[in-house]
Amino acid sequence: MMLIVEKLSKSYGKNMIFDNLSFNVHPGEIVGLVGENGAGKSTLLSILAMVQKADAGTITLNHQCYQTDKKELRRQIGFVPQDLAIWEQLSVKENMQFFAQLSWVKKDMAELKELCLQMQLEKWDEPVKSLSGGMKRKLNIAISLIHDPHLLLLDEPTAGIDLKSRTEIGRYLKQLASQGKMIIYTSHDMDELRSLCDRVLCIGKDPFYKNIFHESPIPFLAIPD
Amino acid sequence: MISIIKSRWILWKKHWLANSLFLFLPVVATIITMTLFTNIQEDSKVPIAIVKKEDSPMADSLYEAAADLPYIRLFNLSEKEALIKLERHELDSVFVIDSGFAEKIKSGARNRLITGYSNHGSFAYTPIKEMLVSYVQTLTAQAKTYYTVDQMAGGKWTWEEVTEKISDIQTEQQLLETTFHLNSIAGNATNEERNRNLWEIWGYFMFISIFFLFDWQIKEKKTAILSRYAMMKYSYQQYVFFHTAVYTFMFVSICLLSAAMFHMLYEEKITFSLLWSMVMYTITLSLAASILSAVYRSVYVYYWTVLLISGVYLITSGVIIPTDGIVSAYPVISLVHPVYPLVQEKYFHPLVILFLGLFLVTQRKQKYF
Amino acid sequence: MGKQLLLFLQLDGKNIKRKWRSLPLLFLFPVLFTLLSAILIAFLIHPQEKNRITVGLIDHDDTPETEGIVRLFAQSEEMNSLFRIKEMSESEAEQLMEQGEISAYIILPKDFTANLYEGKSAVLPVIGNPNKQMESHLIYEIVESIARHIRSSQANILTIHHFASELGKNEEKLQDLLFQQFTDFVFYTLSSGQVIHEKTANNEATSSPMNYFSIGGLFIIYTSWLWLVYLYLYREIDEPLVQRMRLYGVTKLSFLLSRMIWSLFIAISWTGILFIPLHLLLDFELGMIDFLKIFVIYFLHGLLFLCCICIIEIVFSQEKVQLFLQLITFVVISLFSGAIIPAIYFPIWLQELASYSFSYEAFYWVREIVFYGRKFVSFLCLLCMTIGGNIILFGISSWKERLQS
Ligand SMILES: Nc1ncnc2c1ncn2[C@@H]1O[C@H](COP(=O)(O)OP(=O)(O)OP(=O)(O)O)[C@@H](O)[C@H]1O
Ligand SMILES: [Mg+2]
Repeated sequence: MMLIVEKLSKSYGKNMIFDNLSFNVHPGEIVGLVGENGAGKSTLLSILAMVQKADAGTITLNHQCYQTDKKELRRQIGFVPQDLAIWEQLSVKENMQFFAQLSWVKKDMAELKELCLQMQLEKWDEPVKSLSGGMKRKLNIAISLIHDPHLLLLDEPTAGIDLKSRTEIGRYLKQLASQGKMIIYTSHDMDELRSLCDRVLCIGKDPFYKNIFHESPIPFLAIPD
Repeated sequence: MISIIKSRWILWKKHWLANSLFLFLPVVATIITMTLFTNIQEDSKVPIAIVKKEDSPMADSLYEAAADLPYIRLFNLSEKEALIKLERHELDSVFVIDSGFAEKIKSGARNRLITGYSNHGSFAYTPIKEMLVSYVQTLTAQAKTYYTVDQMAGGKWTWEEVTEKISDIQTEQQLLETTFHLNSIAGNATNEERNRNLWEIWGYFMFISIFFLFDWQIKEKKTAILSRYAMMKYSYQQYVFFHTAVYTFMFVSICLLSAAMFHMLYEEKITFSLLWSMVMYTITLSLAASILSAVYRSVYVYYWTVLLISGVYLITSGVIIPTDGIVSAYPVISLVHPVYPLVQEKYFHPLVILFLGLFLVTQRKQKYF
Repeated sequence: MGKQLLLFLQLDGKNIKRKWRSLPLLFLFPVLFTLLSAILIAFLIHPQEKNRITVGLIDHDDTPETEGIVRLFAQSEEMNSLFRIKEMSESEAEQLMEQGEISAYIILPKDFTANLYEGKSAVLPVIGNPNKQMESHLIYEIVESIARHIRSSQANILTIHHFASELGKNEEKLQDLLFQQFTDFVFYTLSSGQVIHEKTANNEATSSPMNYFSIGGLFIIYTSWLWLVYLYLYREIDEPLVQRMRLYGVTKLSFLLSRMIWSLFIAISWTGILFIPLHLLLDFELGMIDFLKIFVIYFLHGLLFLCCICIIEIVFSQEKVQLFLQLITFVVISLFSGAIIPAIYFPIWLQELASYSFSYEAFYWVREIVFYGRKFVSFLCLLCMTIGGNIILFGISSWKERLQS
C-alpha cells in the first residue's frame, strides 16, 4: 500500500508546470505540498485525483497503475478541490445525501451527520447559500470523505477556517493517518504544516520555501529544477 | 438506479414549482390552448355588410339567410357608410341588394341582381359570394318552377302556392343526402376521428417542456463539482446517461397522463399505435435535448437556442400554417421533423436512431471520467 | 443613476462590439423566419399542379342525368381549382386509394336518378382516404355544397311533378318533362356567374394584402428584434458580483435600462434598414414627417414592450420561467397588434381586449399613416401607456430591490 509517482511531467501549452517529478507516499503519512501561487500544487493534486491527465510519467497506487486500473482506483481516492464543489442551492444535509447516493459506500444519515460534526460543522438543515465561507469549506471536506478513501488529497482545505476548527480537523486527519491512510495536502500556513506533516514536498521555482524548510526540523523533498 | 432517482429528487425538489410547471406544461398548456382555439374559432366572425336598397320580403329573406351563417357578423348599413368602412378595411366585403330585386326575380331575370364590393384585402368575399349566389339561385329556380307550372296549368296556381309547395317538399320529403366516411381498407382506420390539431399542439408543448427541463445537464456541468465524479461510483458519463434515462422515463409518464386526459376531455381513442408514437416522439426529443444541452456551457444561451429552434419547429409543424401540401410535395420534411411521425402514428422513425447514435457519440466525447 | 447608466451603456456597447459576429444572425433570424412562413403560406394558397388532389367518381347508375351530375362536378369552379376528377370503377378506386393516388371517391349509387325524381331517399356517399384526412374532408365539404344545389333543383322538379300529376298528365310525358327540367336546372345552376355584379371598392392599391402583410411583418420583425437583442445582451452575473455592485449603489434596474436602450437602438436602426427597400418596393407616398411619426410610434411601442419584458425578468427569478413568460407575452402582443391577422376577424371579446393593448394602438396608427395618409396622429394614448409602464417598472424594481436588501 503505497503511492509511487515517477517522472511526472505536465505543461499547459508552452507553460511547463513541472518536469520529472518523483516521490513516494507511505501509508499513515501526511505529506504537505508547498509552493508559491501558481507553482502547480492544484495541478499535481488533480492529476493524482485523476481529474486531469499528466503528459508523461507513471503513478501507481497500491500496485495499481493509473493508466490501466482506473475503475479500482477511483474508490480509493478522495479529493477536496480548491474551489468549492458543493451545491449552492441545497442544504448541508441534502448535499451530503446527494453525494452519498452517488458514492461507493452507503452511509446512513447518522453517519453523514457524524462526519460533518467531525469537520466541526454543526449546521445541518441550513442551505449552503446562508453558510459562512469557512462552513462551506468544512462541507467541501466532509463530502470528499464520504466513501472512506485510502488516499486523501486536500487542496488548501483549511483556508478560511478558524483556528479551533483547524486544530480539530487536523486532529481528525491525524487519526485517519493513524488508520493507515495516505494524506497529501496543500496549505500556505507554516505552523499548520509543521505541526501536522510528516514530510513536506516543495515544488515551484521560487527558492523561498526550500530555504524555509532547510532550517525546519521536518524532512522535506525539494524538486530538482 | 434507486440512488440515481434519489439524487435526482434532491435536486428536483429545490425548484419543484418551476420544474413541475414545465413538466405538466404539455397537458395543461395543450388544454388551455385547445380551449382558446375552439373559443376563438367559434366566435371568430367575418364582418360584412348587406345593404338593402329595397324592402321586399324576398330581400329580407336573403338578408336573414346571410345572418344565419355561423361565421359572419352582419351589419345593416347605408351604402355610403358601408363603402367607406370597406375602404378602411373595417369590413371584409359589402353586398348591395339593388332596388327591384324581387321584381326582377319574379320576372325571371337572373343577371346583376346584387352588387358585390370587395377590396384587395377581402378574405371572405368569395365564399360569401358563393353563398349569396346559391341563395339567389334557389329564389330564381323557384321563379322558374313557377313559370313552368304556370305554363302547364295556365294560371291555376299563384306564386305563393307554388313556393309554399316547394318549401313543403324541402321539409317533408327525403331529398338528396351525402354521407362521409373513411375507407377502412386503405391505411389504419384507427386514425379515424383523430384530432390532429390537438396532437400538433401537444407535440409543441412537449418540445418546450423537454428542452427546457433538460437544462439540468448544463447547470450540473459546473466545473468544480465535475471533479468529484472522478471519484464517485458513477462516472460523469454514467451520471448523465442515467439521469437522461430518468428524465425520459418521467416524460414518458407525462405521455400516458396526456393520453388519459385527452381521452377524457376530447374522447381521443387511445390505441397502441398512438401510445407508441407518443413514446417514440418523447424519446426522440429527450435524446435531442440531451445532445444539445451537452454542447452548451451557459444555460441562457441554451434557452435562447431552444427558443429559436422551437420557432422553426412551430412554423413547420403545421399548427399555425397547414403544411399538408408541402409535406406531400417534399416527403423529406416528415423525415426531418419529429412531429410528423407523431401525427401520422408511424411505428418507426429514423430520427430516433440518428439521435441515439449522436447521443452515444457525445457521451463518449465527454472528457470527465 | 445617470452616471451609472452611462457606464453600463458603454459596457454593453463594448460587449456588442466584442460579439458583433453573431449580430447578423440576430438580424437575419426573424427575417428568415418571416420568409419561411411566407413560403409556406404561398404553398398553401397555390398548391402545385403536380399535387392537385385527385378525386375518383364512380357512376353505378349510368343515366344521362348522372352524366350531367358528373359534368357538374367536373365543371364546378371550386372543385376544379383544387381537384382533378376522374371517372373510374369501384375496384380501381380502392386500389388507387391504397396506393395513395386519390384522396377520396364519390359514388353515384344505382337508381340514383330514379330516386331523385320520386323523392325517395337518395344518398351520395363520399369515401375518404384515412391517410389524407384533411383533403378528404375538404372534398366532402365541396360535395355537400354541390349537393345543396341539387337538392334545391330536386325540390323544384318534385314540385313540378306534383302539380303535373294533379293536372293528370300521363306518366310517360311527365318523365320526359322531368328529364328536360332536370338538365335545365343542372345547367342553370352551373351558369351562375352573372348573379352578382362584382366591383372593387376603389381604395388605393396600398391596402393590398401584400402591402398589409409587409407592413405587418415589419412590425412583428421589429418586435422580435427588440426581444432577441434584449436577450442577446444578457450577462450572467453571479451573486458576489451583484453584492459588489450594490456596494457602489448600482441597482439591477440600471443594468436593465442599459439593455433596453441598446435593444431599442439596434432594433430601430435595423427596422430603418429594412424599411428602405420595402418602401421602394411597395411605393408608399410617405413624407419625411410621416417617417418621423412612424419612428415615434415604433419607439413608444418598443419601450412599452421592453417594459413588459423587463418586469417579467424582475419578478421571476428562474430563467426558464422568465423566458417562457416572455415568449407568451411576445406572442400575445404580436397577435393583439393585428399585424398578423387583422383585428376585424377576431371575436368581439378578443377585439375589445386587444384594443386595450399598446401594440394594437401602435399598429393602428402605423396603418393609418401608411395606408390612409392620415396626417393627424394622436400620440396621447401611447404616451400615457409608456409613462404608466415605466412607472410600474420603476415601482416593481425598487420594491424588489428593497425586498432583497
Ligand atoms: N486550465 C489551465 N490552462 C492553462 N494554464 C493553467 C490551467 N490551470 C492552471 N494553469 C496554470 O498552471 C499553473 C499552476 O496552477 P495551479 O492552480 O496548479 O497553481 P497552485 O500551485 O495551485 O497555486 P495556488 O497556490 O494559487 O493555488 C499556473 O501558472 C496557472 O496559470
Ligand atoms: Mg491551487
